[in-house]
Amino acid sequence: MTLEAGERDQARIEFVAAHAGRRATCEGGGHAGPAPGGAQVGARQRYVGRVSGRRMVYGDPPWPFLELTDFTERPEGATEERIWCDEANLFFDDD
Amino acid sequence: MAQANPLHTRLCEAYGVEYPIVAFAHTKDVIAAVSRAGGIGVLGAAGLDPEEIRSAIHWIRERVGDRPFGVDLLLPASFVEGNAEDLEAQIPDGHRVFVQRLKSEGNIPDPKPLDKPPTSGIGPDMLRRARAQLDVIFEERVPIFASALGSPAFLIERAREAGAPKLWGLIGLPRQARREIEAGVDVVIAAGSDAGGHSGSIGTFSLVPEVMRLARGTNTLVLAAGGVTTGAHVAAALALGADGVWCGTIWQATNESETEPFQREQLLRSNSEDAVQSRASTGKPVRMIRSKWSEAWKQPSAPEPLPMPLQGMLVADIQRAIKDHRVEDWQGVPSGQGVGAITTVKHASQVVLDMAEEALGTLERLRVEPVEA
Repeated sequence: MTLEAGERDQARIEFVAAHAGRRATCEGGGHAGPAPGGAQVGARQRYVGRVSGRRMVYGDPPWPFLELTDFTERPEGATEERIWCDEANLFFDDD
Repeated sequence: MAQANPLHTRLCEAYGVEYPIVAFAHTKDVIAAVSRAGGIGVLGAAGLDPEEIRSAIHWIRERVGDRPFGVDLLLPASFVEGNAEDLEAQIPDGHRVFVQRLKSEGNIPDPKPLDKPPTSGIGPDMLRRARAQLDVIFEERVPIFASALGSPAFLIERAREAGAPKLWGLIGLPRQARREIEAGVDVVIAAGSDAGGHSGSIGTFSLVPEVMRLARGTNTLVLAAGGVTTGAHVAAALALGADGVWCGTIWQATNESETEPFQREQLLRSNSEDAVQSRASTGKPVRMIRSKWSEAWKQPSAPEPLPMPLQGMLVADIQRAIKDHRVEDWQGVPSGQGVGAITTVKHASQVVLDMAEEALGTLERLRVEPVEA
């Protein structure tokens, strides 16, 4: 994540060993991208992969994301190798 | 003994409204009209800047007073590291050529210059933007915040401490619902695949009862969404156990909506088969009324739409030009499959009253005319 000056203290990246390597699905994952007329649109894409263990907490109240990588499933045509997934939308396979 | 009003659900009790009908719309006039008529209007504000949201909130509040209303945003459920330039480089030349060909064949002019630079809607921009928008909603003490995409669970503590807003989350899968219910979200909106715009893959009739079972015994209310257009749909949603309905398409065909007149005509002459899914606008299936745009991307010579957000970046200019210059036959208004039930343009308040009346009539008919085995 690229943060601007003055914003760096809003994001904290930590390593959570207990999550590292666990398989998980990011549901509702995907971008809220630009749409005609500048409107934003949502997506309910699905990524299945492995949690790296990196956890990013943004702002206050804390908005936590976990990094997902090593995808075995991702949206058709998607090329990214890793995404940050909102913890509330991430489901561990072994739960 | 007087009959209890079957439309007076837990949603009505909790929010002090007459009807369990929630309107999602992008026009603030619709929101005010619905809330004044006894429903709840929720403004789709994801495309607005924070100060535009503040201004809309003030406008609505002046007209609805203490009646509840809400604001809906997109909280990104995930994002990718990188910037717009990195992503632009991933768009194949062949796709750019195809879009140029559509522009030429459709005689579509260049888009008008923008008043302000667009936000990229990509990566960290999404978080910053969502945070700034959320701050306005909290500062203005909007009664309801609805998240159309990501979970609002991380806001629960802040909302409880502030006393507002109530937090609503839109879900497409049962386990998303379970996660939000366990977190204590106030209302879960179970959106079936027949809904307009982006949605999940499970139909409303299957999704709602499953979510109801998950919510049983908790304080979380459940709204049914997807294909809800008439009072009969409201009655059906209540029969499934929902506490109310969330609907969007019908409000685009109201007098108050800023929908273009030709788009209203599209809605009036369309049926469920016309509400097609296309990946051509964003890279994700969006349910919309069929148009030259959606059809062009189905031609044998058309490339596969790119994944989100590349497709949106690829077609942003041409889509803006189509809108700027009102190129009508290339625009398909977002619509759910319930569109076939829209036959006239009415005032939004009349839609609320008609839906409520039809729902009551439907429930009454079922009460006195049980289906025989």
